[in-house]
Amino acid sequence: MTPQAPFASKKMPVLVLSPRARRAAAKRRFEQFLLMLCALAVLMIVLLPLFWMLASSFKPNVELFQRPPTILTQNPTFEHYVELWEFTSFPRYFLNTFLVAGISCLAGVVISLITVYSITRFEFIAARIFAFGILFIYMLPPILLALPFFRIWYDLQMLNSLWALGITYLTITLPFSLWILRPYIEAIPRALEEAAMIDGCTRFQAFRKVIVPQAWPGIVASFVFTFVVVWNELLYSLVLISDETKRTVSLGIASLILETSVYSWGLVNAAGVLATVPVLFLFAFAARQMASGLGAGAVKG
Amino acid sequence: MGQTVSDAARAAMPPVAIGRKRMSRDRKVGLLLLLPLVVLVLGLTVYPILQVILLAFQQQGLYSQESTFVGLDNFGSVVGHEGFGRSVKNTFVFTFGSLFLQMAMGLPIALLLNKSFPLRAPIRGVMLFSYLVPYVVAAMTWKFMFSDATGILNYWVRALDMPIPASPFGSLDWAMAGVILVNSWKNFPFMVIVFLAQLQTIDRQLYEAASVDGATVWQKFYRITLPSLLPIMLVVGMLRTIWNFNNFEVVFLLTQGGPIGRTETLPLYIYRFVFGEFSLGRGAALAVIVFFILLIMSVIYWRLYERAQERFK
Repeated sequence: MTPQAPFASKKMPVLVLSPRARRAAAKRRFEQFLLMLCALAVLMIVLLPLFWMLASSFKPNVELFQRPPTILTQNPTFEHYVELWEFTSFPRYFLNTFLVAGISCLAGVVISLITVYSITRFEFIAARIFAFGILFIYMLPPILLALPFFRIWYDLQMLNSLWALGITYLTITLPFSLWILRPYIEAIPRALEEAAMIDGCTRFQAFRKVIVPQAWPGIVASFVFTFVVVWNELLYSLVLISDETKRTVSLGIASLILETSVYSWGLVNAAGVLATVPVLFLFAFAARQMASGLGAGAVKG
Repeated sequence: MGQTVSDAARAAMPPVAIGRKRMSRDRKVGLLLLLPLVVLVLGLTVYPILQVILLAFQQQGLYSQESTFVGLDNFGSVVGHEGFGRSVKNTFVFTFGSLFLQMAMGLPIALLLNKSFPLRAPIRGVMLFSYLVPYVVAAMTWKFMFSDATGILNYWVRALDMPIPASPFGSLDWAMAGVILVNSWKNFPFMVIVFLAQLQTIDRQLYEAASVDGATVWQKFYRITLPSLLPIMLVVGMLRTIWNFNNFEVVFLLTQGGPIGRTETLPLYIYRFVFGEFSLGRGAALAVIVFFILLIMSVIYWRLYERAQERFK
């Protein structure tokens, strides 16, 4: 509720309002209702394609080809999900992606945490410029980095290695985590740590017991954020992975789209739904942290 | 609570005495803590960039160990290649077409979501969904909706006899519009988030004062909202220009640059050079050219941003 809309406020005792004010309140409420309808209509732009994917993933194959297309199927089936799970390598792809994203995001967050801590607490000016200059890594064309990375991992005979892919993803997760974590750590009063250290904590203990809990929302936000970005990434995995068993989820779906015949659309839709679920789940789980992280990053970053 | 403990401690003993000695040892610890980042940035960014620059001046196959220095030959041959001009043009059309559509969707939606109405918070959250889903999902669902035998939009375009092709991604004239549409659908929520954040910083009293002075809705938008948004519009404009310019996924998944090169943007062109024709050196030369185009555009945006800041502050 905005402050300039006192009539709509539920806390206002309605009885004391004059008829005129009550009419104004009713009009206001009607306007808000119309605005909500507009917003919901606009929301359909985002939701309809995703809804269509979800609805289609439960349709039997015959119905996928039916014209005119049915909106919701009368005979929902899990056959595409079963097929995906039993007869394709997708379970493997999910495991691969969880591993790669987990490793690179965890490493990214930990390294960012100690870097930001060091920069904000010890005040190295050059380091500060350096660390936040690396945000520009994020501006580099991924294709520009993909070429030398291909060559580097080829020379090290580490193409098709999930470790190599995870390390490569640090170019994405590090700048992001640094950017998100900085305002959180800068906001922690130094007095808190000093107090802990005067009370006998070592610097490491102070870091663990003061900084980490205080920055926890930021840590969660940067982990979630980078996880989503890595989960969605395609180009590096396309370039570095050719072994069928080492694919990530995005690469698996890309291969399905690029190699598939029209007959497996149900399968592709099911894969798309499963690839979307972890992202939306994480977002819902960390929505508050992400919102405040975004805001804090935008203002101070 | 911590603060009161600290205050008490400060009162109890002078901080300077312990401060000095700890500082010097501490600074070493601090430098040590920076080491992982420095090593990673050197290894994962500086070294690859140096290598790509070196590669650009060498004749080097994708898998071969031999390389010969060829000076500017790579640059000459990629610029002279018939596909170069086409993909530069395609990249600019894709980049600014997407930017325009993303702005055109993002700004009105941000203004709408800045009003107060029931269910605003969940609607704002769900509005982000298309930005959160993987590119492969975005591309897949649109490809599916326009697919020939199964697509719902494909069916409606035919059923309603609309003047657009039922499979735009395969059409010579409409493929570019199709990839721009999908790219904008995927990325417009980014604009919405940023604009919303900025709209919330505008002082409400400005609007109230304007209302008292009898300003119309349009005048309020033009004189208050737009000037407040202009600097941030340039910033997100720059970010999205760079990201659209670098975008590989949308076009690769929807059209692979086709039909007959109509949607081949520079990242795809580079990809084709390197992984289709196995010429790492020429691909690297193209990548360096792309980098400089982006650099020039960033400088232009930065100048505009500074000018906007000066004018409205």
